[in-house]
Amino acid sequence: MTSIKVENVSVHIDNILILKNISANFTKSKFIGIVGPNGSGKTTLLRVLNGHITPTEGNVYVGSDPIARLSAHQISKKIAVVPQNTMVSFDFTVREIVEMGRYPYNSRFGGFDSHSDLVTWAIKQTDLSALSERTINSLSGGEKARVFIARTLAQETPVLLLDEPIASLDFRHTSRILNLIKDQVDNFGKTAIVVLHDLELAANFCDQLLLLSEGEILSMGAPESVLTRRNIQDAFHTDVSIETHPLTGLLTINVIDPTR
Amino acid sequence: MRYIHRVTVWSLALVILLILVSLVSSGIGPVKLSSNLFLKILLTIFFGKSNLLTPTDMTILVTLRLPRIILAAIVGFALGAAGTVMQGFFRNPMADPSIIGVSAGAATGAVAVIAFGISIPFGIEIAAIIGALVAAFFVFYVSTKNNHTPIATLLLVGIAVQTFLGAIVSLLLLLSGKNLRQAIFWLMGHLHTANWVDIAFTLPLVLLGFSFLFFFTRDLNALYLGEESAHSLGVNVEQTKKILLGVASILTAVAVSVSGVIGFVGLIIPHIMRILVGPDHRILLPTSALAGAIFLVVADTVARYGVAEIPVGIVTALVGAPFFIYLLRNKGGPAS
Repeated sequence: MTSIKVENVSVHIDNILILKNISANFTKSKFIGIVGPNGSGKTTLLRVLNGHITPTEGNVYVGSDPIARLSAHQISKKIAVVPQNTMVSFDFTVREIVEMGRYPYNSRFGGFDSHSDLVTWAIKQTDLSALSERTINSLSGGEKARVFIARTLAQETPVLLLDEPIASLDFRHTSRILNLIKDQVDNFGKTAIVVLHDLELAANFCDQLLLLSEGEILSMGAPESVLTRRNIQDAFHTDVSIETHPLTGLLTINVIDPTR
Repeated sequence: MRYIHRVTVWSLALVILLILVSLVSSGIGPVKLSSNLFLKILLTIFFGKSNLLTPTDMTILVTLRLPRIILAAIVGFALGAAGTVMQGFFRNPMADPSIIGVSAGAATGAVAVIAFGISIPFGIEIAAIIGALVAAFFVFYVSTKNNHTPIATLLLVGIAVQTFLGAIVSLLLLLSGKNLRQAIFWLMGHLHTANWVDIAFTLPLVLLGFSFLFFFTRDLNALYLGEESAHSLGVNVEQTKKILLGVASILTAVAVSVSGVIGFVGLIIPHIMRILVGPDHRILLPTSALAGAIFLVVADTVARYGVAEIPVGIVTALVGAPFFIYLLRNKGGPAS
């Protein structure tokens, strides 16, 4: 399985420094959450990790290979990505989009039906079986988000990069999708690197968290060591109280509202 | 095998329709040919009975109608294919083959040659191709920054260049004096000057260009999901964009250089086919190209039906626009 290593990475976009000297090691078989305020560089970090953006300085390694040396085709067999806000302008069906996850393995004109079991499985895992022949633009935002997650499952890569995958999901599907990712990590040895906004869910599902603030890593490690009152204060400029439930061990974070 | 099956059935059906339409078209025109012409042509082709057609028939068929029908098919094929690729590439149902200034560049080159009365062999065609490619290259070059070409920038620069070249064309028309009529005819799209040399020049280029585009149809599917998703599915995004845009522009330039600016084929044909066969480019591209060929053969037949020749571009718009609106109303439009 594949680990990803980032060494002294800085990224400038239009002369604005987005990421400052980031170094991190994303080891295999871990569910890693990337958290941090809006504009802290989470999405840019994901784009650097999948090779979509070449850093201004520093290197990214997939396994032992520098990512810059890998072709898009080679990367596509190692890393699957769900970007934020995917728009589809024309009416593909759900199944057709999930089948695209097989592109890296099939010949250009073959294999519509090859691995159809895998495609069906991915659709079932994301609770889309009833919708599989519907067109993508007839779905709701949350349903669409699940289609793109299903596509990454069909892509069968050791690494999953998901940018806010649960942002538009309902209560039930949020836990279903997070459990699905966790299952992929724990039982199939995958590495999932996921941008999350909900700090409680991040703490309770992820093995490791990476807290970004203004383009720098403020803290990285086990959830309880990252999500301290001090760190959250520094990153979000918000005072919180953090409690661990005595029985379940689940973390609860409450904002202490100074105006109340 | 579902894909191979579908693309074969559709393509075969469209090829048969194209042949039928061409046969019917060859019997239609200002000069009345002998009766039962279709039957005689079929007998001539399949049984080598060369004595059935009169010399007049043969002359008109071989020097006038056949080249015109074949050229119409080639131009329609190229425009249908280029239109499909441009709509997929720009993820915009309003895109058409001329979107990055190809047609405007061709028009500027051709009208300049006509207006100044320059008469060298194939002067208009050569000027049109050069104009088209210079315009497309310029749009692409200006839109590219740090080896990255944002699609929105391409669209906007394309519109600016089209507007600029449109003004130049208007100016050239004012200066063209007695050649004005010829220039306007060229601009409206025409196939009445079709000859076998045009065919020999366009056919290999169009087939070659089409093969390139067909090879990249799956990448075009992936690009529908956005560049980041396409990249993660193994598409070399910037390189693929250059190839698709370059080849589609060359296809359009080649078509426009022999036929003038024929609107609407590259815009509506991909929509009609998308309604019929779905959005997968591996099926959409070949069927749109064939449907474009059929549409233009029919339109050109209408254009030369009467005593006075009408520019075929007028026919494509007059027939195409109402039909397109009908389809949008009845079959559901593009995804919104």
